Amino acid sequence: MFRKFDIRIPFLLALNLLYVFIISTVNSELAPYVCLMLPAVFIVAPALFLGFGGMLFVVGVTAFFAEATTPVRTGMTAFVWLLAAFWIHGWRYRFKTLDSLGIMGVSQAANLVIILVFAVFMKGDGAGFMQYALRLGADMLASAAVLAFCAKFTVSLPVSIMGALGLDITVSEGD
Amino acid sequence: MALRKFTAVRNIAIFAGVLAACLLAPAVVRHYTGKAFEEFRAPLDAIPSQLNDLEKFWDLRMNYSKSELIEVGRDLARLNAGYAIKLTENEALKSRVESLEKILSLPGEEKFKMEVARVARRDINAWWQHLIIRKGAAHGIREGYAVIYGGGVVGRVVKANTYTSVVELVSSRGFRMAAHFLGEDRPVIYQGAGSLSFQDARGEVRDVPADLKASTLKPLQLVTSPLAGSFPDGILIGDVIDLTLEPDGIFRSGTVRLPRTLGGVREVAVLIPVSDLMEE
Repeated sequence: MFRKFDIRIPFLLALNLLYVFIISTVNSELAPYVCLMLPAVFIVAPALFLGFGGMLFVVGVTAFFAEATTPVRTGMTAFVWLLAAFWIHGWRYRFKTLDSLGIMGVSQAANLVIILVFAVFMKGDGAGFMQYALRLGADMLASAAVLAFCAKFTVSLPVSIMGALGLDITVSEGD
Repeated sequence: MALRKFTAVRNIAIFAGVLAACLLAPAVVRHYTGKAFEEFRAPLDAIPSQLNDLEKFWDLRMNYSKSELIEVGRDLARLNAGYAIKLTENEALKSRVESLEKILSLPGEEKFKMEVARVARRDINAWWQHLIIRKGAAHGIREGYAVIYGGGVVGRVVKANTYTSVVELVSSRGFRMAAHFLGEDRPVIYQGAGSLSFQDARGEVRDVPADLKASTLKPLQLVTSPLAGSFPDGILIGDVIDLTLEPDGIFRSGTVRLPRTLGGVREVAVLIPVSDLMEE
């Protein structure tokens, strides 16, 4: 990982921080009616395009930035995100062609699993289980709808930007 | 072949180490890591808010003619003149109260100083209801301080970083305080209803004396009680629109309708106790 400088690592980290900025702003305007939870946006592209160490660094740092104010133990969010990134990284060859359906499928699956894990670990704010489930369900539905539109975009964007700079970025071959 | 095996084992070992560090790092390491990232993250919250202010400035500059802006400025000047007169009256009343307190040897009333702050971000989901404001410990804000706005109570400061603070909203399930109805002395308990989907924010009121009644046509106004400690007396919390008798038959409980403007509040005031300022 340290033998030569990989420009993709700071590039994908910068893109992820921009996504944190955008999603925070959108959620701030949509509050209190719905909250978009899109951890897959920060995980899928680094897991596909980076080597193992680069993926660990980018996803780990983004997890701390995105959830620095979470009531969960610091590190728990990074733990869950890294597990999801590890799983996607192991299966990255299946998405070599970067087809829309495949990318959307893996993004939706990762998003759903991460949110459900948080739903189990985090104490709800609702007055009872029904209110908690209703609120969580509404947020998950809205998040899935938005992810259906933006999943492929968040994977093609780094390819497009790097292509415009004359650099090729494809699914990572080795670690 | 051997190299590939070694690489795979090395990767898994690094990964397991990082996971273990995330989960099992000592509390001190987690505390300082969390704090460091919060401070790094603070500009991510403050910058969109400041860009919003800049956008409003350019919107006014580009989309309104000079004469329109002059008219608005003139109307604001009239409003300001009215407020300046009220401020003068206020000062006169305050000095009268102070002189009466001196004569009667009564303790002073002014307990709080207001620190106005802009809301940088709203963070409301199924797990928590927070506002991030653009002032923090550097401005004298500490955990537990009350936060209000023009429409009433906003919440309480739960975390004060250097330049930003996290405020738990009055509609949050974890927010609870002593209150009373306007025109009534008897204390009641207010608690937020928590995250609701596609509904306006609400709260609950408990331990209401059985002789009190409320309805949509004649709601009771719920205000803060000095028993709460961090809040002064008489700040609006919301309207109680229904009260039902508890099974014990002694008290009533009901729903508190919080002001609609709470969801879109842009500026808040943090109440800093005067005693804390004097200690510093």
